[in-house]
Amino acid sequence: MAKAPTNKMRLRMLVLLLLFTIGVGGILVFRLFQLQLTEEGKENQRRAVDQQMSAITIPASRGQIMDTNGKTLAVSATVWNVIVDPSNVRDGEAEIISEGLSQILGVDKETIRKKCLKENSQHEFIKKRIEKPVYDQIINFITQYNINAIHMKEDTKRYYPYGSLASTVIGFVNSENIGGTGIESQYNKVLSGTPGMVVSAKTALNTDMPFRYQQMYEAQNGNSLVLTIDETIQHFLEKHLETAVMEHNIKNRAVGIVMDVNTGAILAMSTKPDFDPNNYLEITDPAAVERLNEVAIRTGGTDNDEYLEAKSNEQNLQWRNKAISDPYEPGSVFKIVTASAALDHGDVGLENYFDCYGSFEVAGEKIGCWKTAGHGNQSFGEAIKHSCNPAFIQIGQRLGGDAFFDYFEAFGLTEGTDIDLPGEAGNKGLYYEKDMLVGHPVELASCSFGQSNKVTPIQMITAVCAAVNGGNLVTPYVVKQVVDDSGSVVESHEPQVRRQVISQETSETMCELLEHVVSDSDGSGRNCYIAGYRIAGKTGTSQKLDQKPTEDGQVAQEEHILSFVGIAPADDPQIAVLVILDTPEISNVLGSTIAAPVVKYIMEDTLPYLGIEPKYTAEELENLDVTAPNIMGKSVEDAKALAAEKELTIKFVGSGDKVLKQVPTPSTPIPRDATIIAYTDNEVKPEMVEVPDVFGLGTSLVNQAITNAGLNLRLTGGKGYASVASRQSPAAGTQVEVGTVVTVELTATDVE
Amino acid sequence: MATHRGNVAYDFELFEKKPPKAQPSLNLIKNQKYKSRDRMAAFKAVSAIAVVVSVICMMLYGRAELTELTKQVGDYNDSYQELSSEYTRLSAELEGKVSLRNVEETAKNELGLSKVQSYQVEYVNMDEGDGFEGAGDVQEPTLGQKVSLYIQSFLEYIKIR
Repeated sequence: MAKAPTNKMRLRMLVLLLLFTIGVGGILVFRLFQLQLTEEGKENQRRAVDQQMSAITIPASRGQIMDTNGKTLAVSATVWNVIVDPSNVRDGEAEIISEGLSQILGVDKETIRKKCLKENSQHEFIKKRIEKPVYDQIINFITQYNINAIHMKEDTKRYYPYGSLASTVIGFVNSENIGGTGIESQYNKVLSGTPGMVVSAKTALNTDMPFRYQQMYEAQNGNSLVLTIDETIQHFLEKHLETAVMEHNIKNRAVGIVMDVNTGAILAMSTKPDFDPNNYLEITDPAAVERLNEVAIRTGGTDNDEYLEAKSNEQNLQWRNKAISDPYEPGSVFKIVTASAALDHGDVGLENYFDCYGSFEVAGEKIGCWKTAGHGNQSFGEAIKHSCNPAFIQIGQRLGGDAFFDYFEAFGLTEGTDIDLPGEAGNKGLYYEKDMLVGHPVELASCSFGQSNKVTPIQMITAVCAAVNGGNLVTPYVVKQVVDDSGSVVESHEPQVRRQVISQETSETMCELLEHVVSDSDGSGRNCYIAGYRIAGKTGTSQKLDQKPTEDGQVAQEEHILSFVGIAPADDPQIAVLVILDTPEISNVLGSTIAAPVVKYIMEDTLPYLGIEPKYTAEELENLDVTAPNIMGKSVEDAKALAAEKELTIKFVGSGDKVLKQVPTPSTPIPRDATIIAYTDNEVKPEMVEVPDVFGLGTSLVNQAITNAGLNLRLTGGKGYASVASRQSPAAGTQVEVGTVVTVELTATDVE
Repeated sequence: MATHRGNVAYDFELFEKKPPKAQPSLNLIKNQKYKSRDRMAAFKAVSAIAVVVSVICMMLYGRAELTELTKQVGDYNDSYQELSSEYTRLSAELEGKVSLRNVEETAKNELGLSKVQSYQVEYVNMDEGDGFEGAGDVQEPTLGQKVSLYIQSFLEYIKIR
């Protein structure tokens, strides 16, 4: 009979079991430790995660760029890339796909067919960044023909609704959606945001298990930027710069900046010609296109390295923001700095007088004035008004090299302005240091009137603002606010004053003196005069001293930079406008007077927009134009009375007693002493005359030519002597009725 | 049972044929209570199973619905994103079309309009010069008025104090 196990046996068994359990357990624990906690474990973890988890990136939306009024200047939207998977193209499908896609996308059919038949490929781009209407067409095509080989991959595209407006400031994003230049580049991190991720577990069949193991990390959309740029003012600036570039054949681009004098906010900034950020690779400047064509012809094609390099250079040139990147000789605009410094330092006063005989000798070297006959004896204020070089040489000598450089530095002209745009050029090495001015009278002399030293346009306008806003050197800026998705302000830029450069009193005096430059009939800036507005300003003409000689070692033609800075209103400065025209064609009678009118046109548009209404003096009111009264259908006596009310003369043609036709037509602007032709007889046909060409003629010759032709003359523009006609409307040679008003714009030519 | 005490070595009682034991009479009673108890248990079991099955079914159904709705939500979200993006694109296109440049060109070239000029505005001179208006003759107060004035000022004085 079987005996039951004894206690001893039981105990033995337990001990063995225990030992076995400990042994096996220990090995397992050790192995687990090895697999999970050591380096091998980490590697295994990574592989496990790779196998078991799927991570899908959620792209973040790029933030918008808006102007100061909230108008969208740059925004991103979803687009699609059309991709073909050749490995999935069924027999006979290649033809259908190539035919269909070619029609929808406008891509060459053969190119598509080749891509469809490519071996060892699963991913062939057919077209990138197509928009929704085209996307819908392709989806319909796919559905109609049940094609599996075409995939649509989401992408984003940046839109710039206003095209080339402020393109050199805003910049562009490249094909990787990374900012290339301008604000897009400077604030790329702020605009880009942070992509999100959806992490979920995968089954053995590689499908997601969304409910059990899913973790979503929301994408942080990029923040948006609100700029100080005003789209309306920017438009005004660009419109007139484009006209100037075209009319005066500017060879090396034109620059314009409109700045808030007190805060440093940039209201508008432009370099023309520029580019369209929607097609940033395309070269828009006709001159650049011509240069590239020449290279293509010379090198025999567009695929070679030389052509590609030339193309790259032209692209970089058109993207370049000349307003901050290109130092230049400021010319007489710099005299504002010299005058402010000398006045503030106490070296000169309003009571001081200076002689100008057409030139001034410094250390044996003769330096000429732009007025070769000389200005004679003139006060400090007159020296500024006349922009007299000899006078400023003397002012510079009184100031001394030491003090001159101290003020040069104080006005921020030896360092960058810290504007929040990329690519601001420094001008180290482009100006005379203190030791090169002290004991060097010729260098000091040339610097005093704005030659030799180079500064960037943004440095120059910032210095001018400091001279007229009470003496405060402000930091210019372009971005006003950073806002998030919901519109809440994340960050706000406050105006910064770097230092006080000159006293309030000196600044007020400078405003008054600069106003005379524009308002006086002998002021060098009178081409900027606008009736009803108090405008201060300064002209500038500088010679480009570092011109490259031609192949035979000669400088072909002297090149100049013409500029003008205007400040308005002169009694309470709000805005400053700087226009620089680099290398215009100045072989015509207008000479170097073309920058001031550009500033005038910009001011004429901008000041009313800013709510600064004109306030006319009695004299200005008298000289304002009237409109032709409506005398149609009136009796002869009534017509005479209506004309007399506006101090107009009336000439009747025909024998009737009622006015049947009038020239000029009612409401046409007409000067006060003009003549209205009133036709009282239907049988009398109006006489037609040809409008004479008055371009370049002086005021009296213009008057003679127009009046002799039986037309009415309306003059606008530059007052004072030595003004010539620069524009006329209607154009010369047009056939018009006798009595038609011809508007002629005058430009003063006896200015620097 | 007979007992033989003569020789106890053999218990012959063991070899005696024993009378069959009287079997107790068993009445097969159809016990309703026991039967219903069985049925109750079965019913409970079935109910429990049914509840479990229905709960499982509901869970599965709910999960399926959730999957379906999640998919729908995802689809609608995708659709919304697409349409939102299209709205952005079209808005940008519209803003470009009504930009100041286009408006000016259309106004000037197509509609023949021009900017407001100074001659189209009538200016009014608001400055009528400095002047003053006299207050007229001041009459001397009567005795009664003087007394009244004195009393009023005295009362004011008291109140202040």
